[in-house]
Amino acid sequence: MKISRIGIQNFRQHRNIDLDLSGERGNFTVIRGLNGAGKTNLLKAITWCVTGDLGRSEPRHSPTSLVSHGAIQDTPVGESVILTVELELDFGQEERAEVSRSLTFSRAEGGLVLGPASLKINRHEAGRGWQKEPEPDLWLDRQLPRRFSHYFLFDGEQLEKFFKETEASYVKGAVLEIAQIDNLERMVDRLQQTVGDLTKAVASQRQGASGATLESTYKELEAREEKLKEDVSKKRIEKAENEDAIDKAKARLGDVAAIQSELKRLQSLEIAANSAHERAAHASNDFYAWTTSVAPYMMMFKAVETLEDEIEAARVRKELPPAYDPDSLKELLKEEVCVCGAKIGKGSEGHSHIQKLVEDFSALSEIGEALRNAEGPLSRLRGRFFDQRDKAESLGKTRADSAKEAAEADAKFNNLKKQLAGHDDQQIALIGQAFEKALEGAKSIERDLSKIERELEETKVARVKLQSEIEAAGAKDAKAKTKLHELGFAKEVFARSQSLFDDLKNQVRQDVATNLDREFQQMIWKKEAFEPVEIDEDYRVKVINKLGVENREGLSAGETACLAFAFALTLSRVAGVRYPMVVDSPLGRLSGEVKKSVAEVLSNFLVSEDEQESAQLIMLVTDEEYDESVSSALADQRPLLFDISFDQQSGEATLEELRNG
Amino acid sequence: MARATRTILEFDKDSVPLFEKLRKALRGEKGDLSNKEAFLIAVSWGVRFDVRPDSIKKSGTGARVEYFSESDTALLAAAHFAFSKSPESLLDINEIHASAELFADGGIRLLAEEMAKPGNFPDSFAASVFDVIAGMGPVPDNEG
Repeated sequence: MKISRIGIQNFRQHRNIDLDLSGERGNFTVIRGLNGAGKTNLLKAITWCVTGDLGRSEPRHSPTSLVSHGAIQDTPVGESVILTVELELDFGQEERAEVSRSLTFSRAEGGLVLGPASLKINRHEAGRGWQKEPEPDLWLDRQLPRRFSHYFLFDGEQLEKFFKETEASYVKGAVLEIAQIDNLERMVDRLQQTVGDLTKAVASQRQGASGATLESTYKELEAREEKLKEDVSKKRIEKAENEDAIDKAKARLGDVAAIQSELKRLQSLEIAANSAHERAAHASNDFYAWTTSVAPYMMMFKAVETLEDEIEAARVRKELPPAYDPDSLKELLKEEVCVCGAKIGKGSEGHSHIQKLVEDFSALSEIGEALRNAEGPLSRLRGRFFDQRDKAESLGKTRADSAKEAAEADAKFNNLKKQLAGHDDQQIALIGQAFEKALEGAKSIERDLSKIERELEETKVARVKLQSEIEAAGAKDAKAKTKLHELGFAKEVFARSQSLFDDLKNQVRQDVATNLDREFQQMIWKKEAFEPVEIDEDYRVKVINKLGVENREGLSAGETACLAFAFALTLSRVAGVRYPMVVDSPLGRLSGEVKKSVAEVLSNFLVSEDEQESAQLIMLVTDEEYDESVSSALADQRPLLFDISFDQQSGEATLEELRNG
Repeated sequence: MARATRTILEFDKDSVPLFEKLRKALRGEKGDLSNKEAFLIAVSWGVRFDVRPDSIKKSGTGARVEYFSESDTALLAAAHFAFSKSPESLLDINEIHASAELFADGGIRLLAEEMAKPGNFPDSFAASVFDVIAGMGPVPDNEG
């Protein structure tokens, strides 16, 4: 592959470059110019076209920094400025491609406004003519891999950075890509990712308790449930027994309660009986006291009657004095006053009546007076006889009633006492305590039973729940199993791919290292100074001197340049593609013989006869680099020589072809 | 009427313990019977059952005359009249008192016999009183 044409518009100082490098004459091009003439920006323009960036010497840039100042100045506000770099690639066999990368800017008052960017590729193939490449980025990266573009589009000033430790990833990328096993690496990575994903999926499926664990827990719950059922049965039996005991105790307690009640009743009856007895005693006492008090005159009732009869007979016989004393009556007659106090004159009926009484009782006997004296008290005694007779009936009835009542109370008391013989309070209390204890026991059993029943219910619920979990886990386990199979397969594929890839990778690495060593050994002038160059497993390029010491850091600038060229050449050889090499200041740091030697190396690079297709080298050099020694060393290759200069006035670089002379 | 010369209506010498026993056996207004109460009860028993010895042996102890009320004295008079059947006998209070002492002794002996019997003496005593009451008949027209 070679670059057969370079066209640049408005890229920094290159406002309009059109280099025709077609044909064999374009295989070796030297562009010579002073520092600042535009050599490096020419390399950057090519790099930008191929990769979209400016290479490792200017890793970050703003798009506007790419635009030619002259173009900006020449573009009126509101107009567009188009920056374009075009490369025409020649693959031989009439296969060609036109690569055009451009940026469009609008000129504004304050500067430029970035517009659309584009990459267009037209391809020409034999028999098919020109066709627009539908995937220009992909196609371009495949033809000129971006990852190792810096190994064929490089700045000599950056040579020292080649193969440093930090470059290992670039080396690895380049090695794998040129062997076209980078896809395999990506596949392996993808497989690894797949394995990771499947591992996660399996883990996810297995998250939580597995079916087996759940089964085990289920069995434990089942056993627990059985145990609880047994406990419930035992407790129920215990409860039944206790209830029986309680019933018996209740029956006994019923008796006892009845007895207690009867005992209380007995006490009441006793009290009632005592009370009745007291009343009876009172009644008797009253009765006895009464009989004692009335006995003398009651017993002499007849005697009193006899005497009263005698008095009455004496009254009939008019032996008794009048109610009033006769002497007093005589005094009243004298005063003519009645016993009632009224005046009674002589001759009046009252006066005559009293006078007659006085006359009638004028001859009263001593016996009559004695009888009359006894009459009053006897009369009062007689009155008492009948009064007391009524009272006797009342007292007698009261006494009899109370005696009867007492007797009845006694009978009741004695009857109950007889029934309750053999019972006492202490015995009843003991039965009561036993019953209370039995009740407490019943409560305790009830509590235990409800606790166990509750636990049993909870266990049942848990077991049923677990059963559904087990079913779900079974399904999950099946899924996990499938995923596990997939994982196993993926792991196997991954392992095999990894192994295959590692083998290939190592083979390529070794191949690259062998080629690199061969190229390097051919280039360097100090033959026998180094052991074979190696690329270790971490893709670090190791240059070991004859003393067995790794000495890549100690390489001279010329040796480093040789190593870089050797690596670039190696990549080309391994890839089977000769990439066009554009090198800026390859000899800038070299001097004298070394410079000449490197120039010869480059010359040899071009004339390698192993290649089926011709190589292309574009060297961007200063006058100091391209001195007589270099010129003569490269004379045989008949380079196409250009001078590059920068016009301060126009701010524009110009290229002028020089005829080799 | 002749003045009373006695201050005490005496118990028979042999009957004093009987009176004591009677006093304890029955209840009076203030606990044990007084001598007067016991004396009157004994007189009434003597009268009721007509038991009257011809004489007593003076004991120097008995019921004080001053404690006898007008009614009590009327009872003693009735007792004596029941024996004497002569109104003239009522003219001498000392004769009445002597008659009472004899009746009292007759009565106390009856009561002593009763007290000596098994059973409740107050009840048998009351039964005697109630026998009299039962035989009293209807209340006379001029009474009550």
